[in-house]
Amino acid sequence: MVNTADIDLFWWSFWLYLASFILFTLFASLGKRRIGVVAVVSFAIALVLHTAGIAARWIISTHPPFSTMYEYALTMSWVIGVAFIVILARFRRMVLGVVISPVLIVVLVMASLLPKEIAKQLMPALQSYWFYIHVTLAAVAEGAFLVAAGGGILYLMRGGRRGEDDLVPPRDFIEEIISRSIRIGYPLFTIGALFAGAIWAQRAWGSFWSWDPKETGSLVVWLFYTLLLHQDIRGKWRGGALAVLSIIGFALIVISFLGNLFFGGFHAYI
Amino acid sequence: MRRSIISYRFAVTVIAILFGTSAFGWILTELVPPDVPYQREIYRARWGDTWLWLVERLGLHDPFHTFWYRAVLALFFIVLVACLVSRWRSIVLRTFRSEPPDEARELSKRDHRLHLSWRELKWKSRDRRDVLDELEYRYGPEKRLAPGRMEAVFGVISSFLRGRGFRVSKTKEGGVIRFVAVAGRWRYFGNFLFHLGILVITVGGMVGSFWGETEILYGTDGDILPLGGTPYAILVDGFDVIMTDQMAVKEYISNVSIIDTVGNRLVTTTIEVNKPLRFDRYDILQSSYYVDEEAFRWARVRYSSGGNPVGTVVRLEPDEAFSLEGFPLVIRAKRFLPDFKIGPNGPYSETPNMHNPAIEVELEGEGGAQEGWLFLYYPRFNSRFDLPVQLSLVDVAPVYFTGLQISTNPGSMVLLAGIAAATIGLALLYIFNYRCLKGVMDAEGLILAGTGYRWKVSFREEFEKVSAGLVDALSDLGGGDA
Repeated sequence: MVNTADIDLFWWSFWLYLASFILFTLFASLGKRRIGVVAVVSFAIALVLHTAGIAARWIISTHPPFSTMYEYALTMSWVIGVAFIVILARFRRMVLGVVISPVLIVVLVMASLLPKEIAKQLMPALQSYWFYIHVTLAAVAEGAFLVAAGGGILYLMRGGRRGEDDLVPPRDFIEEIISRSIRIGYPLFTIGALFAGAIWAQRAWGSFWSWDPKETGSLVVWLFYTLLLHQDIRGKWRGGALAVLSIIGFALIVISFLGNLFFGGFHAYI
Repeated sequence: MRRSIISYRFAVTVIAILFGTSAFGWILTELVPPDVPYQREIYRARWGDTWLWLVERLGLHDPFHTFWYRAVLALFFIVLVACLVSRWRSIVLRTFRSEPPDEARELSKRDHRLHLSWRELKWKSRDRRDVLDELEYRYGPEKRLAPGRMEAVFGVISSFLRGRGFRVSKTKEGGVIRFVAVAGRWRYFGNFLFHLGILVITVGGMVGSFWGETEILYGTDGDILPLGGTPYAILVDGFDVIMTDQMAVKEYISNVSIIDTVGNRLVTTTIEVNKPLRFDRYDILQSSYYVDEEAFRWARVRYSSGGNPVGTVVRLEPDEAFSLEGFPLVIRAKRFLPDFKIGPNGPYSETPNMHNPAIEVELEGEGGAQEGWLFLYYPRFNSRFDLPVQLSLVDVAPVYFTGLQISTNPGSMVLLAGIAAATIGLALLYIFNYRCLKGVMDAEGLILAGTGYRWKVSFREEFEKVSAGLVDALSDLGGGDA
C-alpha cells in the first residue's frame, strides 16, 4: 500500500524525534554542549517535518485534520513540539528536551497505532465551525498539560540535587515551567474542551451535556486541574507533589483520549 | 460553621469530592450496563439479589443521575455561592482600590524586599570621594531628606513605576509616604467573574435538567409530527440524503413546514445537522435518519442478454409486474433490504443504513418463477438465474425516515450567559498578571517590598530589575540631595 505524503512525513518526523531524544539523553549524561545543539537541530527539523505532515494532510483531506484520533494525536504532539521550542528560546535549557521529547514520542507512538486513513468527507455532525474551535483548543490545552507532565518527570529525575549547575535547572525553575504550562492549558481546556464543546453539542444534539463518556472524562480532567490550581494558589502541593500530580494528569488525559476505543457515546470515533 | 463553608480548605475539599465521585461515576459507566432496570431478571441471575439490589438502590447503572451525585453537585453549588457572597466585596475593592501599607513592619512578610537609605544612595552616586567626603561618609550624620524634597523624590519613584505598568497610589502622614503600586489588578475581577460564570452555568444546567424536555420523532414525506404541547405541528415536506462519489454521507437535510391547526404553513425551511430551527421555545434539530428496512419507492433494474453491457433499464414499483421486452418474462421487485446480510433465518438487514442495498426480484416465465437478489454496490454477487437474461440493479429509492429532535431547555440562555461570563473571566485571569509592590518612604530611606502571585521566578527577576532601575533613577537625582 502506498503511503500518502502526510504518512511519510509522519514517520520521518517520528524517527528524527527519536534521534533527538537519544541525543538529548547523551547530552544530559555527558554534558557536551555540541551534542545538545545537534539534538535541538534534530528536534527542530522533526518539528518542521511534523508541521509539513499536518499541512499535507490538511490539503489531501480538504479540511483541517482534527476528525480522527490519529489526527488529534498528531496535533497534540505538534503542540508539545512547539511548546518545547518556545521554552527553549525563552530559557535556553536544552536539558528539558530529555523529558519533553519522550512525552512527545509517546503521543506519536499512540498515533502510530491508530488508523490513518484520510476521511475526505467529514460526517455531517462535524461540519461546523465549532468543531475547529473545540478540537483545536482542546488539543493545544492537552499539549500544554503534557508539557507540564514532562516538567514533572524532570523534577523527579532531578531528585535531591542541590543548587544549580549549567545542565540541571533549579527546582523553582522547573516548578514554574509546570505551573505555567498548567495555567496556560487550563483556560484553553475550559473554553475549548468544555464550553465550546457544550455549545456545539447543543446545536448538534440538542443538549449541552449528555454525560457521554468522553464528556465525563473531560470533566474529570478539568476537575483534577481545578483542584491542582487551587492547591497551587494556596501554596500547597508544590515541589514533588506538583510534579507527581502533573504526571497523574497526563495519565488521565491519555485514558480520556484512548477511551474512544472502549467507551460508547457521541465521541466514539476512530 | 459559616467560616468553614467559606474557607479555602473546605472549597478545595468539595472540589476533591466532586472529582472523586465524577471519576467513580466515569468508571461505573463502563462496569455496570445501563439497561439494568429493563433486564432485571437477567442481571439477577448473573449477579444475585444482593448485588442487583445494591446497583438499583445506589443507581450505579446511571451514576450521574443518582441522589449521591446530585448531593455532591448541590454541595459544590452551596460552597460556590458562599465563597462568592463572602468575597465579592473584597475582590471588587481590590480591583479598583489598593491599600498602602500601614507600617514598614507589614512589608517584612513579603517575599522580596528592597531597603534603600538616602545616605547610601548619595554616596553611591558619587564617582569619587575625596578625604573630606570619605570622612563625612564614615562619620557624618545620617542623610535625611529635606521635607521639601520628599514629594519630588516620590515623584521620581512613582514615574518610574508607572513607566513599568504599575498603578501607583499613596498616602502621606507626618513626613512618611506610604504607597502601593499594582499591576494586573483586573485579574481579581476575572477570578470573580469566572467563579460567577461557573455558578450561573450550574444554575442553567439544573434548570435544564429539571424542566428541559427532548424527544426524537421520526417521519417520512408527508407525515405530520406534533410540536410538543403547542397547537403547531411539523409537516415533513421531504428528506434528502446527499452522498459523495465514494458513497459516504455528505449531509442529510429535512424540508419541513411548521403548520397551525388548520394546516396553514407558518414557516417553511430546511433543517440540517448543526443548523437547527428555533420555533416558539423549541429547538428542532436534524438528529438522525433511517431507512425503512422493507419498503422502497422504486428500483431501477437493467436487463440484457448475451453479455450485452448496455441493456434496457426499467423502473419497478414495489410488487409491480413488468414484462421484459424481448423476453417471455415478467419481473417483480418484491423486497428491499438496505444492509443485506445472511442470518440463520435467511436474509435480513443488519442496520437501517444503505451499506449494502439489495432488491429481491422474481422472474416468472413459462418454466415457472425464480427468485434472487440483486446488489447495488456488489453486482458480482447478484443471483444467477437459469434464464437467458442478465439482471443488475442500477438504483433504488429507499423510504427514508428523518429523525427530528424536538427539545426545549429553559436554562439555555442562563447557561450561555454563564459560559460568556466565565470565558471573559478566564481571559482576564490569563491576560493580567497581578503584581503588587508596597513601600514606605521617609526622611531616611525607602523600603519597597512585593510578592509575585503567579510566576515566582519571573517576579523575582522583575523585582530585581525594578530595584536596580529605582536605584539608578534615584542615584541620578544625587540620592535625594537638596
